[in-house]
Amino acid sequence: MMRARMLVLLVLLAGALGLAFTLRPHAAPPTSPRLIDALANALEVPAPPAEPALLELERFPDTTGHAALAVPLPVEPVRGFVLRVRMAPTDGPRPAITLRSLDAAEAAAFGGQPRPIDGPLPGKELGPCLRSSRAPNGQWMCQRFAHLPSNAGAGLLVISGAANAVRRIEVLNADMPDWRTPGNPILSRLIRRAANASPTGSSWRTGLVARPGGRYTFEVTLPERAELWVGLGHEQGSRGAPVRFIARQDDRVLLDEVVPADLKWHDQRLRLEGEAGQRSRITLEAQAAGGTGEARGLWSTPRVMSASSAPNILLITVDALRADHLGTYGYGRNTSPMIDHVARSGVQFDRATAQSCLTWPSITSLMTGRYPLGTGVQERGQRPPPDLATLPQLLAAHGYDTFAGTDQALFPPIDLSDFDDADRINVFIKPSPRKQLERLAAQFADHPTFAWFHLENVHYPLTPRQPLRFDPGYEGRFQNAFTQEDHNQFMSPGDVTPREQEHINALYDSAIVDADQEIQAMLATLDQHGVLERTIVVITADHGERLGEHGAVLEHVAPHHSVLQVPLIIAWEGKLAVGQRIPSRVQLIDVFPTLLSLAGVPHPPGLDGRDLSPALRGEPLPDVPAYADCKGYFFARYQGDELVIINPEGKESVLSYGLRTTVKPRELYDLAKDPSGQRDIAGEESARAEAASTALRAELERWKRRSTTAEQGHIGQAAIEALQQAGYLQGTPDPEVETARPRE
Amino acid sequence: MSSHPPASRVSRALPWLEAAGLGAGLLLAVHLLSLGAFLLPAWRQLTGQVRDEMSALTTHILGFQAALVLGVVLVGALCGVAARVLLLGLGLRPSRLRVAGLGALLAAAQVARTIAHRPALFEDMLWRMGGLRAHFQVALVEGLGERNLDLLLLGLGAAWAVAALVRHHRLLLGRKALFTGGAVLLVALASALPMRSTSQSKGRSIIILAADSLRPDRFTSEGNPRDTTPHLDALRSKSLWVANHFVPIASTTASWTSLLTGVYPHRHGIRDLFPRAEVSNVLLPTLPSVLAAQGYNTAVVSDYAGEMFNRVRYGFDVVDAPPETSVEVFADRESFQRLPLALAFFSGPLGQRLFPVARYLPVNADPSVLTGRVLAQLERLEASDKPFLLVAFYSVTHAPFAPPMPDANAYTRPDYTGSSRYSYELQQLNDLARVSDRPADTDIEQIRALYDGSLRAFDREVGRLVERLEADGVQDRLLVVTGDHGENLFEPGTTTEHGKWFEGGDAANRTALLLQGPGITPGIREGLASGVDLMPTLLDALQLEVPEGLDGRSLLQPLPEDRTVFAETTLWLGGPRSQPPGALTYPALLELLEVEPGTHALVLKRSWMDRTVTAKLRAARRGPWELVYMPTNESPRWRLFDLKADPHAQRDLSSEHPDVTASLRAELLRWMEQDPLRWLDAREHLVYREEQ
Repeated sequence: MMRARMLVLLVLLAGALGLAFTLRPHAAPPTSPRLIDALANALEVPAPPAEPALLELERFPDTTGHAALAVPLPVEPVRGFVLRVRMAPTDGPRPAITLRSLDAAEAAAFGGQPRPIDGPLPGKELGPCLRSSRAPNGQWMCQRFAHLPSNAGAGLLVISGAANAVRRIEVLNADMPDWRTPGNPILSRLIRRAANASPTGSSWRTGLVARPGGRYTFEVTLPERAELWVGLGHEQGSRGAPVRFIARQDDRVLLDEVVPADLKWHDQRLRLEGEAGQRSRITLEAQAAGGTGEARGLWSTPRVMSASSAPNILLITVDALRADHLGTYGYGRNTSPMIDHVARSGVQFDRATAQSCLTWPSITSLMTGRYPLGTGVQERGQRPPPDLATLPQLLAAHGYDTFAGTDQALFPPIDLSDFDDADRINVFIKPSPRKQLERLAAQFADHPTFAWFHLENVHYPLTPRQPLRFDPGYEGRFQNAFTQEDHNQFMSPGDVTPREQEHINALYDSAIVDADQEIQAMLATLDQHGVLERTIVVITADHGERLGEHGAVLEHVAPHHSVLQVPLIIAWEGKLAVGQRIPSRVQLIDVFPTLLSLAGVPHPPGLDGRDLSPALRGEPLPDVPAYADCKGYFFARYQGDELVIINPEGKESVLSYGLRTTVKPRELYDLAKDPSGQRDIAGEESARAEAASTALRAELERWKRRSTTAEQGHIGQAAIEALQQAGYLQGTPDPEVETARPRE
Repeated sequence: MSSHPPASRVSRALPWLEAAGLGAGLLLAVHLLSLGAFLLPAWRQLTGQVRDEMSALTTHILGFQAALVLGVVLVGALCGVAARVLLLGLGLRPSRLRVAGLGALLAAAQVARTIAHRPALFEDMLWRMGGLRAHFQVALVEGLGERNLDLLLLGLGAAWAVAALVRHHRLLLGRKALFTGGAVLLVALASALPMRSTSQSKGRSIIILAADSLRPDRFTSEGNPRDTTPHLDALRSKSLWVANHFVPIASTTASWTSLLTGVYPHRHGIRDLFPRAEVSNVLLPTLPSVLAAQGYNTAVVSDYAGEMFNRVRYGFDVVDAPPETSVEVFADRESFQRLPLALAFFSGPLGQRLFPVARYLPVNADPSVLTGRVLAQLERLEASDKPFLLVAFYSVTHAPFAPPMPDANAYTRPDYTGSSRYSYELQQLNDLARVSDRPADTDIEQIRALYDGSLRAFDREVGRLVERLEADGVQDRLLVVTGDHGENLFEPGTTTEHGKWFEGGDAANRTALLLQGPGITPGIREGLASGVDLMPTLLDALQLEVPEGLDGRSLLQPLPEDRTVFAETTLWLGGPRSQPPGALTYPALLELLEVEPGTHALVLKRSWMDRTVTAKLRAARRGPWELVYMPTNESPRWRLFDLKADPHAQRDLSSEHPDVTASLRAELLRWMEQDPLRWLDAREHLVYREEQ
């Protein structure tokens, strides 16, 4: 009887729990501290600005017998615009369409009407109209986002050859929209990117439009010791009227300031009142403040920040830095005293390899923890899908402030939109990374910050401060520098003498010293501010370099060992093992989950990188294969000390200045016997080569079969059945996953 | 010693507990057997990858199963106790066998009642299995029928009551029994009395009665020989009937958003059934938000097709609709719809409160249950002194066209032997994307008959609601009957999808619009109207200011005869095989959709947004003309139809009427150019070095 009673009670309890569980309301999705990410749930947003086109032409003069048609474009200097030219279908070759900039005098001389033109063209050429595409109605079109230099008076569009085919020219304000909210036609027009001067450089930020009369209202849950951080400024290149910015918390005015269009960001940190967990309304309102011209203000990266004890992260990637040229990795020359010191006080991974031979794909993989095929970025100019979680995004969602200091030529600012602040740095002219870090160091103490600096010292052109540091007394070509022209002209080893190559290598090493000194200055800054023990320092590289090896003087477009081997040093004063060296092979993409773990942030599913934090605490780390994808047609695989490189489609990479690089269909290297990976033994050890290349191909197949975000939310059979039952899906859906993913 | 009182109390309760336990145990056993018979094979068929994704939901699934077990056990206990009462009433000794047997019979009676009332729920388990089970269902549903079954049970109950009275007359004539009996009788009488309905609200309220996939041409007054819409036709005689109401997109969520905002889909951003969180907070002025600013109370009541009202926020004060779908809901449905005891006991109005997943089964869209909720909402709204907006959205007319009896077989043939006897079985039509594989004529006829039955079920509820509205004597009120879109029912070149194409005429985009109220002259309005006109029309009827910049116009004002309205298609989910030949293709739903983090909703992946919007077919309508545009990898296809002379759009007249084609084409291109997602031009990004 007792047993029966117990059984009954048990069943009832289980059932009650089950019922309560199923009837419970869904947990509300976590909200990001960044208000722009919360825009979709805002209580109030202004109507998006409706901007008429700057120019719309549909009638053009006849250009028969003339060389070209010239159309003046009345655009302000610096202000970004979009140019669209639509042409009727032409049988002959497409006309050449170029954009030029005229200074004030030339613009006045040319006049305001389009006309045919022959002979020399006025002004300076800016470039061709890019990105042509065929429109569905048969016409074709080219489009370009551009801006005129600051001394320009007007633009000039020149169409040469078959100019009579032009049907329509449009010049629109370039909204510089945020590419991550494409679906909402209202919100996407409220978010703009712009660069303005920060105290230490020019900073690209994403902001909300602040036009007079516009108001945003957000309801936020306050964290502990909350602050509202926002940068006040104006849209890219705007020289219009000032804007009065008013920020309120509930009924309390936090900020009421008039900011002119001075091409600067005015950063604000406003203390918010209230207990942690309390709901509060934040209002951002813009009003007119007199003046002439259009008032086009921006609230840049408004975010609700909280003091927290999460560690700061300083990620330093040195472009084209080979591991084996650093003292701590066994190099003969003393190229890196500071990096060696950091390695002695932290953890050094002896065998770290990159996942691409190019900067942008390698960095994208590093920031997402996935192989290049999985991010969609295998070549420069490609962009990952908007729903792929990145390191700055995940950290920002957990209250980090995120900063990127890079050379924007290599990193298009629109692709750094995940960072709250993307400053342009240039290691050769002021301001230097140290100055920018100085600005951040003040907040390192109580606001967790993720700062990424990408140093270009070691990437060609090589212009070290002391060119003869490691090769004193040399006289000859490239004595003081290996310039861009040198690089484009002297590409293959036959173009330079062995002595010259030796000197180029010495220039390279001296450039490493410069980067090392830069790092020393940065760490000294942090030390001065007393925040080094709250900062995880990661020093690595996006790829290495070929120095007179494998058919290149100074280039890295093939996945040889000298290109793929990178340093990887992680130091955290007082928290990680000191002077530890980890011999197991690791991949650069492992840094992603590792940093998330150290910061206490959950990982997204479906990563290719693995979490190295157990190894940082001293646990053993098994050796796993490492892979690399160079431009999408050269591939490499490391297994232990064996490196196999394949070129399955027999492709050759041809760079714009003429360097041709190819890789044999199969190359094999034994790094135990040949540590620098010079000797290809695929011919002698064909069985080993075959086995290794088969394993590599199998992995590539696995990558192709996966869709990028398949693991991030596979919909499941139950959902398919539900849709079928409601009649939205007739029959069985196509099971094969399309291999062609959309890419821009 | 005092050993008597506890012992006697316990000993008195014991047999009741035993009866409860017997009933519970019996039903639990049946439930577990059915789990093993129906659910486990389905789960075992899942491939490894699907098992992985289910493993993420393991806790949820276990919780749900436990809840079901609890529910079944409680019902079983109730049956056991009731069995004991019945036996005691008849003076029989309630032995374990008798209690168990009678308890089982009681449970079986409820199962039979559910099968007889909503045969579509059990169609998979019975009719579609063929053989004895099919015969059983037909015999029960059509042979015996729900009415007769209920009468039988009522008769048996009455007989038992008499026998019990006779047997226990001495006991029952005691004072306690008389008092309790009298009280019960009084309460029963009081609740059976019709309530006098009054309305406290001042001002002009609006009531919108809507049905999903409502086809106006299936109304009796539009020429359907079947008596599908007696109440709607009666209402029509007092209303303005908009004959050519063409919605901008034949997909529920997107269409409702256009209906409630008065703008075309590219302006509000909801282009399909899978809106992401970023478009789900409608930032444009909506009908409910504009009315709320004028002091209205607003509410929407719906069944499964209206779950999107919980996802997309239009500004209604009260949303009485099933909670938003998510992967958890889909997982629950999988098991719920396969377990007969769950279906029998928890699919009705009471059970739906305990197991909300029952509201999501398309075969369980009993409109009378929804009307109960609508009436409750109406009570609540009329008790306030503010005017109100009440939207009631019925799903019974949506595929799979599964009304309850008697409408399920109102127009079907008794000798039908296909698989869509009580509801339209969609999965039978594999590969039907190649429309050349038309199903058999008997199936087509049956499916149309099922649709007409669903329409009749909706009409019945319209009748009930209109009766209730007329009872409270309020004259100053606006009544609207409409649909979110129409439906294809095997017109030439089509199957039964809506929103996927513009073939076969405008059956998919054309829906009913009926307006009744003060200031609206009854009659027929022939001119072309669009879904975006609804909001301005209603605001005009209320003499309120219409917000600026809407795409729609008020239908109560004269409109030019040659106005042009536009439409677009929605997502194809079946992959390239299901897309029209030559169209821009994209993969099937497994690649196209994902589970949105946070909301767990099914959404379109951002990386496919541009492509799917670019691939949409578009249409422009002016007068009798319809110009259809289809983008391809080369030049697009343009086709012109005269829908008056050729209602099934079978003759392309673009070469015969080049002037009409050209002018409609220019208008359509201008409309398409306003679509920010359309890949006419690749989206900007900087790919070159920016020299400063």
